[in-house]
Amino acid sequence: MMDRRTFMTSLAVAGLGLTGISGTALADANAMRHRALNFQIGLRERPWLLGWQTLEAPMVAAASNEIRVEGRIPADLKGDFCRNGPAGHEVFGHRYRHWFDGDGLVHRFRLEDGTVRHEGRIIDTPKWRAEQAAFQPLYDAFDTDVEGASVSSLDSLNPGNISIIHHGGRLLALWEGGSAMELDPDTLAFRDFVTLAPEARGMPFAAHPRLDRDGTLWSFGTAGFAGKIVLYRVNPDGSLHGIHLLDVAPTPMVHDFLITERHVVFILTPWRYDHSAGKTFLERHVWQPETGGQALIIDKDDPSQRRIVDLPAFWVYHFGNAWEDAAGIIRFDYCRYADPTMTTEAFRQVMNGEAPTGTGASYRSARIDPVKGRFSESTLIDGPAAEFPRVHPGRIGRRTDRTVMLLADPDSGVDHPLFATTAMVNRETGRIDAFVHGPTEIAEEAILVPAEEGDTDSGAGWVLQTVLDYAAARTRLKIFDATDLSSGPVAVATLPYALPAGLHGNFMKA
Amino acid sequence: MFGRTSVTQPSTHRSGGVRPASAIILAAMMLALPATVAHAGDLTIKVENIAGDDGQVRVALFREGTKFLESGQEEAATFRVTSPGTMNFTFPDLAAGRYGVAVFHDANANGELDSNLLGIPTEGLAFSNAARANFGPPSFADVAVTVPAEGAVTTRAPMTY
Repeated sequence: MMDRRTFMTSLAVAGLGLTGISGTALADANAMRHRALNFQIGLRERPWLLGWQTLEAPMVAAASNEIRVEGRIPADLKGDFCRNGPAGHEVFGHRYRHWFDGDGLVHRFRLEDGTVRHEGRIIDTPKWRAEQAAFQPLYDAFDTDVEGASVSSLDSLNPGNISIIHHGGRLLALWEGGSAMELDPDTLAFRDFVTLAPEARGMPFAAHPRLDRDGTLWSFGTAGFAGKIVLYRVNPDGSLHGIHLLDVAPTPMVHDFLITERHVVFILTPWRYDHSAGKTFLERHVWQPETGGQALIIDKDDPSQRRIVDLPAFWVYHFGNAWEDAAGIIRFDYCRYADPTMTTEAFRQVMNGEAPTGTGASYRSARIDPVKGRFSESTLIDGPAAEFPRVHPGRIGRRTDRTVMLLADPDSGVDHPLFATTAMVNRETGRIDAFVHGPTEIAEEAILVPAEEGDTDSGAGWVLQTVLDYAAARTRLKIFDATDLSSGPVAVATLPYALPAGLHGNFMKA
Repeated sequence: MFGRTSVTQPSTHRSGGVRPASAIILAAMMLALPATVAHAGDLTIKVENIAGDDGQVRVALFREGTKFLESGQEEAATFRVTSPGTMNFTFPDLAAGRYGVAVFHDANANGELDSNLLGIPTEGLAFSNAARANFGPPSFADVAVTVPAEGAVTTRAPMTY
């Protein structure tokens, strides 16, 4: 309980400029070894930090008879629930500084005929293989300055650790600072970096591409060092339709973006790249709230046609969805942070064995009038923290009313300060259908799997949710009826092991 | 094969006596053009970690005082068909001084270091003194190797991709 209070107190004082004690970079190998010790000490006091313990085994697997299932897995829920996230947090005793640094663990729950089996592996990227061969870290990470490391190419340090999608017949692990990487669909082994065109080799490709109704994949990459955002339009077969370079200097950190039927929308926050500001990619981002943000609205068919709408200063990781209403107003939902302290404080502190501080996000519904240049919004769920909004995957860019997300509610009665509640929010009716997990369960991103094929949006379907029970040291898959979360899961499958807290996943129907 | 372009052998040794006037001229030349009269050394570049056997490995030598990595400023340049792993390149008979070497793996053999739309090189790079690119090329100071008046020097240049 003390930890949660500490977390809440910190939320309250975050606006006063409190900074984490781990905010100072110690760039040598000793600092990385020291951090590994700090973490082990912190873990004894804060058992929920198990979510950030490094995964020792490079591969995990459980057959269906090794997975305990309570309830009944729906027989018509067939396919692969694949997830990704940093899990190789330590390289031979050298611990990274930030949650987003470590090597990616891709893993897959295969659901068929009411059964489930599970496989996963740390992606054997060129970076991972080189470090395994050298018995030491060799490459800089998102927020760790590795002694003696240099950046010759972005993919030389690509850990592929943020998300996983299936597109154009390929299974792709996604980072955001380098290329997408193709995985073997059976073994999940690294195959190669995806080169969409020779002139696009080794360029950043985001972890949040948006799948259009015709199968086109829209994506982007931010290149702060070059003052550019790269916009990719990928054909349904995985070939490149086109690339456009957008001059956005200084370039903010951009993790996610939006599409509508006619537009691509970037929300440019005032957290901007300055190469001289630090040694790591994260340190090189400077929070400049006094200058506000901007929405960059681009015509899908003619990217040279752009509109810019001024925005207040906020930071955002994730959007639910966007669409244009009959009046041409762009509507979207998102999780808004007052500042990026969750990233600069909390996600370092959990790596160093400390309790997290930082400002959590509220869930909001926003409107942009591109013609009048106006932005307005309403808060649907106030803090302390709402995150990982996900919608019907077949209706990206068109109206959706339901968004599933996670909440960290200090009154939910759980024993940790992390996400504990899965909530389906209906913006049309205002209804919130929520389920609070067990007191020692940390919730990861939940996804919505519609029951119907195509883009029908009746609301029927399932919510797939993984949780880490740190007390039991087990990771669980929970399957909910998407229309009734509050009644609890219809099935819970418990793996015979614990996996670190991951980031994003998707369901690929069989 | 090694394509030396501008290093010339000093031709000041003559049999017989040197007349005083010539000696004065020679001394003046030594002050003005030390490169042409210093003794010669060999510089060997050991290019390591070459991936695959596509194309060619291209090596350019730059002398201190010239514009490092600028086209046309090379003291010498050479290339060979790629062989995987390690390749050695030797620039013989160099005038004593400080040199820097840049290497790239021209995998598609188009004679150019290819880069993507953001300007990031997309072919393997290596530098003398095992210096590495880091959001841009290393400086001459990072890559500089001193070639003595007599003897041979070897420098490592591990390729990064």
